[in-house]
This record gives sequence, C-alpha cells and structure tokens, in this order.
Amino acid sequence: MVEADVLVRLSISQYLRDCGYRVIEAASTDEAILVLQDGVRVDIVLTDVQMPGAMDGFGLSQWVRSNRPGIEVILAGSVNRAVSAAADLCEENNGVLAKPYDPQVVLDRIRRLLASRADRRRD
Amino acid sequence: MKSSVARETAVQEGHRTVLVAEDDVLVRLMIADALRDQGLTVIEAANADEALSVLQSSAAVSLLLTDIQMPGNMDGLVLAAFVHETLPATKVILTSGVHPKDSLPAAAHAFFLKPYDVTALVGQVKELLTDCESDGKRR
Repeated sequence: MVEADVLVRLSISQYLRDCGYRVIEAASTDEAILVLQDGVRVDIVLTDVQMPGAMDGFGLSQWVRSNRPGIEVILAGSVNRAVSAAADLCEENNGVLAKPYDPQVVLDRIRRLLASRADRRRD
Repeated sequence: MKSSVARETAVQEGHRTVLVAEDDVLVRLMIADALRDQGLTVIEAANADEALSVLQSSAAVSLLLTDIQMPGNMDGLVLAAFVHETLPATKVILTSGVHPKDSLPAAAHAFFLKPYDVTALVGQVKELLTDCESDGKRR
C-alpha cells in the first residue's frame, strides 16, 4: 500500500488486514522500492498516482513491470487521467481505482486481480 | 472525533494499539510484523509528522515507539514530549542508533539502542501495555 497520506494509508491498510491480507505500508515510492528490492513477497502493489518525490505512481508501476514483473499493480487517483495513461501498466479493467478509496471497492479489486492471476497461472 | 478524555479512557481500558514511528521502512516493517504477531494493533508512521497526525486523530494509541532521529519538522524527542504533555496515559519507548547524552527524558518509559533485539523490544512493549491496563483498573 503506497500512499503518502498517513490517515488514508492507515484506514485502508487496517481494513485489508481485517479482511485477512498481509499489508506492507510505504509512505513513498522510494520506500516501496526499498521493500521490493529487499525481496519481500508481494502479490499486489496498490499505489496512489500522485506521490511526492522524484517518482510518482506511474513511475513505480513501470519500475515494478521492469524489475518485479510477477507483481500486479493497481493505480489509484483521478480515474480519467489514470485510465488513459495507465492502460499498458495495469491489467485491463482491474488496474485503476478512483479516490477517495471505497474500502469495499478496493477489496473487490484485489480479490478479482488475485483470482484473475490464479486463472492465468492455471492456463 | 473522539474527545481526549474518551481516548485516554480507551487507552486505559486496554486497547492494545502501538504507534511505530520509524523512517527506515525495513526496520519499521520488521518491528510492526513482530508486534502484530503478538496480537497487537500497529499503526505505522514514516516520521514524526505522520505520527503527530495519527495522535491528533481519533486513534487511541496505548504506546508510542519512536525513533529519535527522523527527517521532517520534528524528531522523536519532540514527539515524545507532545505525548507526555497531552496524552499522559500513553507509554513511550525511544529508539536511536546513538546513546542519549543525558538521562532518559521524563517523556520516555524506555530506551532501546539500535540495532535492537526485537524480542526484547516486543517484551518491553508488552510489559508497558500491561502497566497501561493496570493503570486503567486502578482509576
């Protein structure tokens, strides 16, 4: 969960933990990359598009695609902008979330993404 | 938003929530995981500014575990002093890679030198949280 707003990050992370997921929190794309470079097992990166610092959520998505290609990415932000710019970075129909987050929508997307990935691995 | 009295009551009634303020994400992840494995609720903050936002929200934090040196507008010592002044029921553990020059500030209940023994730190957290519950029952 890559999100610069601590209260938003806390809220969604705790909701997902209550749903049984292990959630790793990153306050910045730099932190996210440190975690990913450390080899921690990650299935999905949920990242805000607008992040402070040199790299935004799009940059992080590209980094994940290049360096940890097995990890799915969900981008969150202004839907129109994210959809048009992120089509090749995320799985179609599953990769973009609108903010403010609706916890149930986040949960549904994660479940669909993991199910979709499991189906692809079976094929 | 909960009043400060309501939050203090929540802390004393044994709500086991630990706020970890640590700017090294891998250290933060390690200690947060270790505390969650003990059944504690852990809120993570990447710096003192984030921790302050959490403390000023409705979250009832029973214990603050904070590194001293962190980037941003304030360090862990200032954060600990804030908790001491405004949330007296909340316990505070300080961590640092450097031994404090003077004695432990009044705001802190314990100090751990980094790199610390995670098991020992978790044990200290649990002991202080037990004190929180005892404090609440005595009132």
